[in-house]
Amino acid sequence: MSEPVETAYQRTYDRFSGDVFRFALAWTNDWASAEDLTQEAYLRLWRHRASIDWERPMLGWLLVTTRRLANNRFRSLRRSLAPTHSNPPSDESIRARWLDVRHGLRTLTPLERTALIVTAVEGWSYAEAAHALGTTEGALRAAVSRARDKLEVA
Amino acid sequence: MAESRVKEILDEWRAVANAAPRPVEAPRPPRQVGSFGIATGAVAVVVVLVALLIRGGQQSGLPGSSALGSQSPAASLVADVASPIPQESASPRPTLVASPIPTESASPIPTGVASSAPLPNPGGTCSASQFVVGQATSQYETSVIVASHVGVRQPVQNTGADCVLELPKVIGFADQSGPFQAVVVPNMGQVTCKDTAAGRECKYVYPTSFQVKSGQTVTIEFNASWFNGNNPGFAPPPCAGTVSDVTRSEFPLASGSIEIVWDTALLEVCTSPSSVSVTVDN
Repeated sequence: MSEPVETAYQRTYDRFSGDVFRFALAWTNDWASAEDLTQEAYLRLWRHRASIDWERPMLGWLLVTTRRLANNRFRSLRRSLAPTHSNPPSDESIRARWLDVRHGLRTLTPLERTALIVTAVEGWSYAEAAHALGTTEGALRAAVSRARDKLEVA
Repeated sequence: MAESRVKEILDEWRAVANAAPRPVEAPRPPRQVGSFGIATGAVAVVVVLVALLIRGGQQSGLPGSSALGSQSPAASLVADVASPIPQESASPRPTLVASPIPTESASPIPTGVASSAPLPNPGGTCSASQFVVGQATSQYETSVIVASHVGVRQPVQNTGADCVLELPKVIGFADQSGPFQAVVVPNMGQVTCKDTAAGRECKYVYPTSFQVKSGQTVTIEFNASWFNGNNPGFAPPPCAGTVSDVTRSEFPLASGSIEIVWDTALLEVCTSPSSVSVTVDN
């Protein structure tokens, strides 16, 4: 009985961990936090594996959990949304590029940054993004617009 | 030029984010919990302690095979996910009304008359009669999978002398026409940020006392959440003393109370544990 759950869990990880990581990266603008949050979100999934309907789509749940974990973590640990002790990727070329990108996005709020990235980079529809971010399409469009405005004048 | 800068950043973000190597195996607490960055130190200590306990003969099975896996599943997850934690971006501040619209709710409501139980006097020096109540705003903010979240913001303008507004620990909630029910409300806290050479640094603060100058408009804010049942895989968390379809609140001051009325109904407000948190934006 546990074998199918293990398989379903691993399959969910294989399929969505990249999406969850990029979502967390967009939200936090911090590499180490995004790594941690991705793992934490999956640990929640694992911890509650017995009560989960594995036939249902998991990505939405994972994204919301990731965002809530980010907030809980930020609140409880008083960590910066853009901490100075981030651990960027070990590859030097990626590391340098990431620091540039992170710096370029630093003025955006998490909602603005995530709204812009998931729609412009990840290719989500506004409806999908609004659903994942728990807001309305109108508010999401406004966030995207504000994000673009901020980046353009930065 | 500017648009190309946006594209450049986003292209870079795409390239870097997609270059991130992902561990092949999904994380499982018994084997991998020690490698998670957020709690590496703390978890390592726990692992060592567990190992010592096992060595001491309290357990004979595999190390770490029970603690995390034995927690009650759905309830704790729902509670974690559903807790209304404020954060900077998902709580857009409403534009304060330039000329708050005086309404009948601006007049103080005698504490204890409308409530099913008297609300404790929060102290301070502000009187309800010195505030003009503007138009409240309300909107869904976060999470639609397990819990629904609504933020309510009520601008009020101090038309009297400077005063000190103490954040109440108990406020009243009611549906459109029913009596107010007293609910303990945790301090929501506020995000404060500053730009440093190393980047933007933010932290939460939890003020309980607010200086409100004469003529100043401040905003009373609270966030509420409730289990929405959208995911049948999760059981509802504990929720006692439910107040349903809440669209009104009684916010006590040192003298009198302000009634807050909004549009987006809070389908369920729990009195125990509390599902609403409050703060004042000044």
